[in-house]
Amino acid sequence: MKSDLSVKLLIDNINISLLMLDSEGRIIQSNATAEKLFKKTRIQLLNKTMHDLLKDFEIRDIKEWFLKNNNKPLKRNALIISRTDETGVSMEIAPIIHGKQYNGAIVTCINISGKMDLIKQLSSTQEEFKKRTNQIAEERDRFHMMIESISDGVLLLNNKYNIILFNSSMRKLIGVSAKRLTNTPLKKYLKEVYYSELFRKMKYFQSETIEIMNQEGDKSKKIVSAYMAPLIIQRGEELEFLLTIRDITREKQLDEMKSQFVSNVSHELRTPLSSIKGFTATLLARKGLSGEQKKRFLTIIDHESDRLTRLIEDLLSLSRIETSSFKLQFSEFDLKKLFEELKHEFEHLLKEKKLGILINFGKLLPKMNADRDKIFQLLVNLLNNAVKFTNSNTDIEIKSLFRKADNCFVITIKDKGPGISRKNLEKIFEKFFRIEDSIHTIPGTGLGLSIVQGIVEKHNGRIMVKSQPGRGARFIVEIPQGMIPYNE
Amino acid sequence: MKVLVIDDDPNITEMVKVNLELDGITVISASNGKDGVELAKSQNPDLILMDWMLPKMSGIDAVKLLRGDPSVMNIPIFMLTARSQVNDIDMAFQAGADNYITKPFNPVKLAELLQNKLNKINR
Ligand SMILES: Nc1ncnc2c1ncn2[C@@H]1O[C@H](COP(=O)(O)OP(=O)(O)OP(=O)(O)O)[C@@H](O)[C@H]1O
Ligand SMILES: [Mg+2]
Repeated sequence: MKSDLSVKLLIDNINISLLMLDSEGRIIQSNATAEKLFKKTRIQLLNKTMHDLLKDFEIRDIKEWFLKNNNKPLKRNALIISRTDETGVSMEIAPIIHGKQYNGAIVTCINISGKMDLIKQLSSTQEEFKKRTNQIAEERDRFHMMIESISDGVLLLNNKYNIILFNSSMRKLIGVSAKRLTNTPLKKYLKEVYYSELFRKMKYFQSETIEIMNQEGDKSKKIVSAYMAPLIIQRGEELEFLLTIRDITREKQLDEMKSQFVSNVSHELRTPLSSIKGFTATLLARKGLSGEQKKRFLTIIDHESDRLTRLIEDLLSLSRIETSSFKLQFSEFDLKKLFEELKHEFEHLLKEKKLGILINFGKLLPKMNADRDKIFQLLVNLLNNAVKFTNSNTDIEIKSLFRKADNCFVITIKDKGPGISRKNLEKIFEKFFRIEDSIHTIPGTGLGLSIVQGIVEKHNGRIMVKSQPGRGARFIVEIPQGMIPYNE
Repeated sequence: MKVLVIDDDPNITEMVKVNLELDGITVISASNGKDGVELAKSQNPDLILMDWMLPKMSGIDAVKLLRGDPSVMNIPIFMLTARSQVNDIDMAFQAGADNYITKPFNPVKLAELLQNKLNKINR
C-alpha cells in the first residue's frame, strides 16, 4: 500500500506527462503533469481519445495519425507538436502488445516550450537541408540531361572496366539495349587490339581511332575516334575511366572516296599521256619508220591530246558543280529555242551516223526558269551518249513537257542503242565508270553522267534511267520550275 | 625471242609492238586477262608485259594464276600499268611480278630493257 502510494507520488511528480490508453484508444490513466500540460482535470481526461485531446494542437498530422490508426497506435512513434499558445510538446507513443494482442498504449509527453526556439532553428536547418538536397537533385538532373543530349558517346567504367554509366548516343553507337549494357565488361564490345590501345594512348592523353561493330539492326561497322581519361573521384579511391567516342564513319568514308577519286584521276590522266609520251618517244628515236606510220602515230597523239583536254575540262566542270558554294545562274528561257541550238550543235554528228532526231513538246510549255548553260550542258551530255552508243539508221527521241501537278519540266531522251544491263545501271553515274564492252571503241571519260547528275541535283531535280540490254535506253530528267525572281 | 603484251588499250599494244619488233623481238598480244593467260600457256613466251586494269580478269589475278601453273610459272612478268601507288607496287610483287613499270613510259627504253633481260635469260 505504501509502495503504491509512493509510485503514484513518483508518477505525479515526474516532469513527464504520462497517459495510458486502453485497447479502444481511450485514456484510462494520467498523471498530474499531464493534467497541467493539457489543462484538464483527471476526470476530464478520462475516456477521451488522443484525437480529442489534441484538437487545439497545431500539428495536424498527429491528429490524423491517431484518427487513421483508430486511436490505436500499433507502432512506436515520436513527434513534436505545438499549441497555439506556444506550448511545445515532444510526444512519444509506445503500444502495449502482449503476444499478438493490442492492449493499449502509453503516451509520454515532455513539455519543451522553453526549447521551442531551438526546435524552430532545427526545423529551419531541416528546411535548408531540404532545399540543398533539391538543388543537388536538380543539378544532377541537369547534368544527366546534358550528358544525354551530347551527340558523342559517353561511357563510364569502374576500376574493373565494367560499364557503369553511358548516354543514349553511346547506346545507339554500340547498338545494345540499356539493360544489356549496364554492368557488362567493355571488352565485350571492343576488339582486343583497340582495347589495349585505348589504355596505352590514355597515358599520353591521346585519342585513338577504333572500330565498333553495331550490335543490332544494320550491324554496320562504325569508325569512331575514342578518348579515354582516368577519373579520380576521391583521394585514395580506385580509378574510374571515362570513355568518349565520336562517330567519324562519314568523315572516313569521304576521305576514302576522295583518295579513291584522286587515284582514279591519276590513272585516267596517265592513260592518254602514255600514248602521247610513247609515240612521241618512238617518233624521236626510231629512224626506220615509214611516212604512213609517222602520220598514224601523230594522229594518235593528236587524238589523245584532245582526250586529255576534254578530261581536264570535264574534271573542272564537275568539281565546279560539286563545290558547295557553286550557285546556279537562273534565268527565264525558251526550252524550244534551247532544243533548236542543241539540234544545230549535233547536226554534223547526226548526219555522219545517219541518225534521225525527233523532238516533241507538250502543249503549253511555259518558259523555263533554270540555269540555261547548265541545262544545255546536261542535254549535250545525254544526247552525246545517245548518239555515241547507238548504231546508225535509227531515231533518237527527245520529249519535253511541263507537269503542272508538281511544277516540273520532264525531259526524256530515248535511243535505240545497245541498252544497259541492270548491274551497270547502278554504276553509270559513278565518276569514271564506263561499260567495258565499249571502253576502247567509243571515246569518253566516264564523267558525262556524273556532270549530268550534279546539274540535276543542283536544280533539286531527279534523273532516272529505264533500259534493258538490246532495247535502247531512256533517260528521264525532272527539273522543278525555279522561283522567279531568284537572283540575289 | 617472244614477248606477250596483255593490255586493253590498243595504242599501248601498238607502240610496244612497233618498238620491240624494230629490235628483233616477236610480239603477241591479248586485250584481256583471261585471253592473256590462255595465250601464255599455249605460246610459252619468254616474257610477259601485264597491264593491271583489264577486262574479264585483272592483271594481278592473271599474275597469280600464272604463278600457280608449273608450265608457265617461271616466265618473267613485268607489270606495265598506270596504277602507281606504293601499295599497288607491293601488291604486284607479292603476287609474283618481277618488275613494275608505270605509265607513261618510254617504249624505246622499254625495248632496250627487255633486250638486256632476254639476253641474260637466254645465255
Ligand atoms: N545511252 C546510252 N546507251 C548505252 N550505254 C550508255 C548510255 N549512256 C551512258 N552509257 C554507259 O554509261 C557509261 C558512262 O556514261 P558517261 O556519259 O558518264 O561517260 P562516257 O560517255 O563514257 O564519257 P564522257 O561522257 O565523259 O565523254 C558510258 O561509258 C556507257 O557505257
Ligand atoms: Mg557520256
